[in-house]
Formats: sequence, C-alpha cells, structure tokens
Amino acid sequence: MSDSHGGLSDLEYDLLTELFNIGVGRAASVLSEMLHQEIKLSVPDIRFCTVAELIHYFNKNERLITVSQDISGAVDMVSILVFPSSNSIEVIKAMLGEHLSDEMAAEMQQEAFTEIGNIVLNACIGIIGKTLGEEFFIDLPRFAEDTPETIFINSMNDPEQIVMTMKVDLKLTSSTVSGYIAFILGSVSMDNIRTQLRRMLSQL
Amino acid sequence: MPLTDVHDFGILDGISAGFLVLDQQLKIVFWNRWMEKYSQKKASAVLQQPLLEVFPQLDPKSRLYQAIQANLDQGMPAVISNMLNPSPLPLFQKKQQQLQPICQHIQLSRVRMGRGENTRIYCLLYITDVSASVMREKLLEKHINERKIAEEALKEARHLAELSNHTKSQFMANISHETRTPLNGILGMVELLKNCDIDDEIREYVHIMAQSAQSLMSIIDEILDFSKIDSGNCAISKQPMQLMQLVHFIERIFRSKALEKGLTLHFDIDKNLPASVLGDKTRLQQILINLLDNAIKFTPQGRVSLKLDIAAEDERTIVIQFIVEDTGIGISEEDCKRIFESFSQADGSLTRQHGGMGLGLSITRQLVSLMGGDLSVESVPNEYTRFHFLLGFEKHQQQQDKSNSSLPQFSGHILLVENNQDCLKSSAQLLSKLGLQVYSVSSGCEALDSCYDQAFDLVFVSLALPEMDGYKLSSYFRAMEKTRKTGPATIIAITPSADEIDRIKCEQVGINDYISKPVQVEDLLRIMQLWLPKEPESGA
Repeated sequence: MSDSHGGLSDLEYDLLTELFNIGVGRAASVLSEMLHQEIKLSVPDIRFCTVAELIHYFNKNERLITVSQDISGAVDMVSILVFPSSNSIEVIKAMLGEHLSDEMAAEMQQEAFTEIGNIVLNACIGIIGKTLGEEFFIDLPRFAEDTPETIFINSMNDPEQIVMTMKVDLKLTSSTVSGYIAFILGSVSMDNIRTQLRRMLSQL
Repeated sequence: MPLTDVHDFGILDGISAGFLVLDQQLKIVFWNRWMEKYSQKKASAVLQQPLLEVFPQLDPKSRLYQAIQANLDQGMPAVISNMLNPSPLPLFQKKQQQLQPICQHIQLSRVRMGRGENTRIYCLLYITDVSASVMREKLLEKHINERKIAEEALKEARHLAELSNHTKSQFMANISHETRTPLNGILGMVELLKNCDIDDEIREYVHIMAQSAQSLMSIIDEILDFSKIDSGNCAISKQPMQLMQLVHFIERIFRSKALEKGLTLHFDIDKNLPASVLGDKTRLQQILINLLDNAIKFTPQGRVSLKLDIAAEDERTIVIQFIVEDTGIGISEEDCKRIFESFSQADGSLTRQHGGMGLGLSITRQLVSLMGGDLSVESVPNEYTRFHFLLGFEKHQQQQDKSNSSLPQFSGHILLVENNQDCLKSSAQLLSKLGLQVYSVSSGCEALDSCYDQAFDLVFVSLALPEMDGYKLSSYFRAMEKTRKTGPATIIAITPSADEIDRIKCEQVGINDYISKPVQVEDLLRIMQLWLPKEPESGA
C-alpha cells in the first residue's frame, strides 16, 4: 500500500495517533499500578499496510510472541500485540523481578504476556470503539508463539486485508522493548475510520 | 432479577471452578457451589448483595475491580493471572485445620441476557484454582536454583582440582627432569667402572648397581611422560612414518624377550596397509611397546600377538585397528574398569610380583586419546586379555614413491624358490629393485638343478613347497655344499607366518633366518644388511 497514512489528512492522522497514545497511556498506568514500577507505553507512529506487507516488518525466521483478541458484531477485526520472542524473557524478568531464572521466566511467559497483552489491547480496542461509535463483542485474549508467516498469513487472514499497525515502545525501569500493535481491519473500511475522525474533529 | 433458577445456571454447580455473575450495579446475581465452598459464604447470603459488601477486602483500585467495571461499561474481557495478581479474591481452602488462600486465575466475560428492551448485561467471573501449578512452579524454581548453585560449586571445584593437578604435574615433571641429570652421571660412571680391573665380587655389585640405576631411570621416564601428558605439554606430531619399519622395530625388541619366556610372538599385519602414513611414530611406538611389554610381563605361557587391520579407508585417509592380545593371567571385570587409572595395577599383590609404577597403561591410554583414539580392554581371567584401539591417519603416497625410488642398492646373486606365482613375481621384483641378480624357480627340484650350475649368495626358500618342502630342500642344499665343497650360502626361509616356523627344525637343516609373507622391502633390507657378504663376488 503506497500511502502509509491510509489516505488520512495530517490532522486526522495526528488525532488518531493522539487517541492511541491516550489509550496505551491508560494501559501503562494499569500495568504500573499492578507491577509496582513505572511502566511507560507510547505509540510514536501509526501506519497502514496489507497483511502481506506487515510480515516484512519482521525477520523471516524470527520467532514472535503474540496476544490477540478477536472483535465481532457490528464490525469484524483482529487485534494483535506482537513482541519478538527473544525479548520476551527480558520483559518478564524486568516486570516480575530479575531474581527469576530464564527457565522460570519462560515458564511464566504465556500467562504473564496474555494479561499484559489483554490490558494493552483492551485500551486500544476502547479507542477504536469510541472512534467508530460502535459496540461490539470482544473475545478473551489468546497467546501464540511462532514465525511471522504462520502468525499472519497461515491464519484466517487474507493477505490483502488492510492492517492498521503501530509501533509500541514499552519502557521499563531497566530496559525498553519495542513491539507492534496491529488491527487487521476485516469489515472496517478506511472511509469509515476517516468519517468518524472528521466527525470528532468537527466537534472539537 | 436474580439468576438463581437452576434452569439458568444450575449446571455450573457441577463444575470444579468458580462462577460468579454480577449485574451492572455490581450486585451478585449468581454464586455457584464452588464459590460457596471456597468463600465459606452461602449463595443465599450473598445473592443481591453488592460485591464490595460481600468482599470488603477488595480494593476498588485493584486490577480485578477495574477490569469488572471496564467489562460492564465497555464490554472489555479480561484475564487476571495469578502471576501478576496473587489471590485477587479472598478465597480459601482448609489445609490442616487452617485456611490458606487459593491461587486464582480469573477470566471476565460480558454476558447478555434477554432481547430488545429487556436486554440485561452481566459480568461473568470464571475462577480456577491454580494452586497446584503455582506449587509446581515454586518447586521448579527451587530445583533450578539448587541445580545452578550445585553447578557453580562443581565448576569451581573442577577449576581448583585442575589447577592443583596441573601444579602437581608440573612439579613432578620438574623433579623428574632434575633427577635424570645426576642419574645419567651415575649410569655413566657405572659403565666406566665395569671396564675397570675389578674382582668378581665387586663386578657383581656393579652389575646390580647398573640394573638398579637403569630401573630407576625407567621409572623416572614414565613419571616424566605421565606429567607431560597430564599437564598438557605432550604434543603429537604428524610426520611420514613407515608402518612396517615400525612393526619390525617392535618385533626386534620383543622377539628375544618372548623367546626367553618361551612365548610365541605373533604379528598379523594386513598386507593392504599403506607403506607410509602421517603420524607420530615415536608415540605410536611407545603405545605398542607399552602394551606388548605388559602382555609379555603378564603371560606366563602361550602367545602374545599384535594385529594391525584396516578398519576403514578412503583415498586420502585410513583408520587402522591395533590389537594386542595375550593368553596371560587376564584381568577381572572389575579391574578392567580401573586398569587405566594412574598408579593402579590389577591388584596390590601383582604390583609386588611384577613391579612397575602402574603408570604405563594410564600413559598409553592418554597417548591413544591424544592421537584421537580410545584404548579399550576386554579380558577373561586366565584365558586372554585384548587391548584394542582405532587410529586415523592421512596416507602419505608421495613419500612412498620417493622412498621406493631411493632404495639402497646391493650386489649379489639370489636364488628365489617359491611355488606361489604372485609371491614369486612380487618378491623377485623387490629383490631386483635392490640391485640384486635374481634367479627364480618354483619347485625344489628346479632349485637343486640351478645350484649345479652356479653359486648363490642368498637362497630364499618358501617352506610350503609342494613335494619337496623348504626344510627338505634346505637339507639337500647343505649336503650338496659339502659334496661340492663350495662355501655355504645363506638360506632364508619364507614362511606364511612367524608362528608356523619350527625353529629347531630350521637349525637342524641349516636355515639361517626367516621372513614372513607378504615379503616387504623392510624385511629384505634387514636380511641384506645382516646376511649379504659385505664385498660380494662379481659374477657367478
């Protein structure tokens, strides 16, 4: 897809970025409260691409861990939080305590990441819901670990589906880890998002 | 309207998990039997009660409470893991008359009941007890930590042991080296003393002194070798070496020793072995000498053998199997396990009977290992002991060609009596390459006919001739020499194996020496140097 801003004007794009930053900011405050340490989440950049293009954001053989929640009802979407598997142990140890051995951190990875992903995705889904003014049904989060191709292509997704993706920086006390939040837009069109953003801008 | 009707949720009473349903006012509308059990609160007492009144301990700022509100307000599902939120609800189980909090994993989902205007929204909490898996994780963590501590301790201990061992080996090497110098002085002086004009009694003392000094020198050499290997100072070289030359050298060392004990010494060498390979001749020699010396030492009667076989080969490399076997006292299964340990022999009494430091096999195994092999032993007490190992070598073809082209040259007339045409041809070719005039025949009668016409410096006789065998032919030769009054020729027997030769019979019929099949250039060189007249007569 040639236009990485999805055909949004600068103002519309800035508004969408700001909305997501508010959303992940809330998620960060929940995580900070829960883990008793300062955690910062930021979304510096939103891009639009196809599912096939999204794969090139990652190395072909890189293993990724993902937490995803399906959204259905008035609109269909899949929301996914993606982190490189190689960083996940570091994140778990930074969050739950450096005293943990790598083996234990690996053992706890699935459960801890599922909840962290759930908090971050819920915050973002809330933003999407508000933007679209729609109510929908959200599935419980599910965890997966695999290569980019298996996660994005071999699943039920159409490679040509549009993805709204944002790089997310997770800043912990001792380290910063970068991942992605992706919304595979099923029945949601860019026109729909643009219309709602314009409506919001006109009300400001 | 409370959801207490069994037709609505009663089935959830039969599931081993907690089900709790809240309405939009955060009042409890369903509470299954599992919840009754672990909260110690009856459904009748909590239904229609606000959650915060039933659980006053629950913090409204907690992750669980916030998630319930987000679920009811926005429909956000949530996972509350035990990992990040230990015991979010005050639920307990009785253990040894005490209430202990249970570890929980909670899932929050939005539930819609009714249709249209009657649609009601509820928050369903699905709670599972994960205490067992938490306990397993704690045990796993404990186990991992214990293993890591043990590994660290082991690493440290190994490091210290290696350091200490290295220091010890270095010390031993230095001491041995320093001891050799004065001992060499003693040995030199003893040799001089032997040549002095001394009476028999003193000569006997000097002889004992020489033997003791020599024995001490052997022990020091062993310690020096052991220390060198142990401290990692023993490098293995890769030089061209002639395998048959090495075997003959070893044969020469042990032939008389075996004869003294009345043992048969058998060498079985694969004739397809390459003439030259790249390896450490000195160390391989040391390995084979140690093993054969041991075999002879511990074999009171019977035979000791060395076998070299090709285990595998390609164009450039070859793997040779070395087997040293004896029919000696053998080693018990238990002793086989520790026979390679330093300073160890099969048992204490043997050490006293046979002497030695108990370092030989340890050194041998380490040398084999340094050369890339693994020395193994198998034995049945009072039957046999077999030491074997495999070593890989690079073939050294060019050097072989070069050595063939630079063979020493001799002059002399040779009669070759051999009925096997292949052997006859190859032996004749080898002899010709040494510059000798060769006359070949394939039977005893032909050989005797030839001797009427001319005299030979050397006669090679195959012992396995048909009709008239090699022994008979040799006796006729000697008889003919007496009749014709010609000088005695040297008769060399060609035998399929050194074992099959009857030495007494050889002596009786006048055979001077023997070589084994297949005839090798090294064998012929030895024979020529030993038996060929230094200034051979020219012409027949």
